[in-house]
Amino acid sequence: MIEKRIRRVFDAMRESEVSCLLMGGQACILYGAAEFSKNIDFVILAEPDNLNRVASAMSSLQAEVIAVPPFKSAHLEEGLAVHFRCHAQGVEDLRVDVMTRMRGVDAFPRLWERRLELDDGEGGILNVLHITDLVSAKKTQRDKDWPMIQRLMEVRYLSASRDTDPSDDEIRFWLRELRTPELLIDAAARFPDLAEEASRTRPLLVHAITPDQALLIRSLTDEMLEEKERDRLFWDPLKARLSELRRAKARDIGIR
Amino acid sequence: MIEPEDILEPEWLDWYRKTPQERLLATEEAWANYVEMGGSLDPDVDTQSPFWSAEELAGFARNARRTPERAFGKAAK
Repeated sequence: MIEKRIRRVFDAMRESEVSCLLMGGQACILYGAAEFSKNIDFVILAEPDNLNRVASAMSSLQAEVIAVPPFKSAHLEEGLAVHFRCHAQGVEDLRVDVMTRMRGVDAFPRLWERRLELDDGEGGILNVLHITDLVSAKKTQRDKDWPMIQRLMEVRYLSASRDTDPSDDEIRFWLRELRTPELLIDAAARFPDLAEEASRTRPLLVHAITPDQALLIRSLTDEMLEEKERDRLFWDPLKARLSELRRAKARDIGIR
Repeated sequence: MIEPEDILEPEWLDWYRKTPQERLLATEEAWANYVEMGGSLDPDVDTQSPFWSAEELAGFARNARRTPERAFGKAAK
């Protein structure tokens, strides 16, 4: 009988009735884009009652806040993540991170509306960030997030494109986010009108339509570098804020 | 039309074919084995993460030296 650490955390959030959506590496696993992740990330509703419910769930897991910032609504609203480490038996050392907002991603109520409700196989429902939002959330400055986006989209395209009649919205999503040159060329050939339309907002699609794989690869790299730079600029003031909080924490420890 | 076999490597093909519930179970098993073997649930060094700081990196390195079995797994007997 294996110890179900991940499920314990889901259960704790559910029992405390936390409004939250699973995101990050564990969500990527469920969508088939990853096999292992060492922590559990949630996006949560930033309302006082919900934060109290998060506190209750973390208490049931005997979780403490590690690093900075402390678990306060103001820090979450700034866009920072709060990091917990569990100590309850069976979930020792497990880390749970929560955020309320992310760059380029809608506010929680919209995310909740389009969430994926997944049967957990044991009679419960897991609320998971929709793949369109997960892809947006993964567009960070970190190299390791980009292969994840590529794989999320590969799995999505290969699974959903077997439908005889995918919706236009689904096809637009593929054309907007696919990062595998072969699949972009395939999608552009299958759906030329929508590819033409999408190329107005994603110019690299002209190389999928032509097709010119070498230019497409180069353009995909440029697109990624531009997005990483946008993420760096977004995080610069937040990193300064984190440094400030770390210094304050160090001073506080020094005084005590 | 491109087929999964054309794009995905064999180990990913297996993972692709699982249902989300099967993936959840498989990752629970992997996690249990990882912890059983002494694997650490500390965050990996990630200098690109905005959440990492020089101080925390230094702290991590100090902890890693003090407790190598926790940071890198137990040594094989």
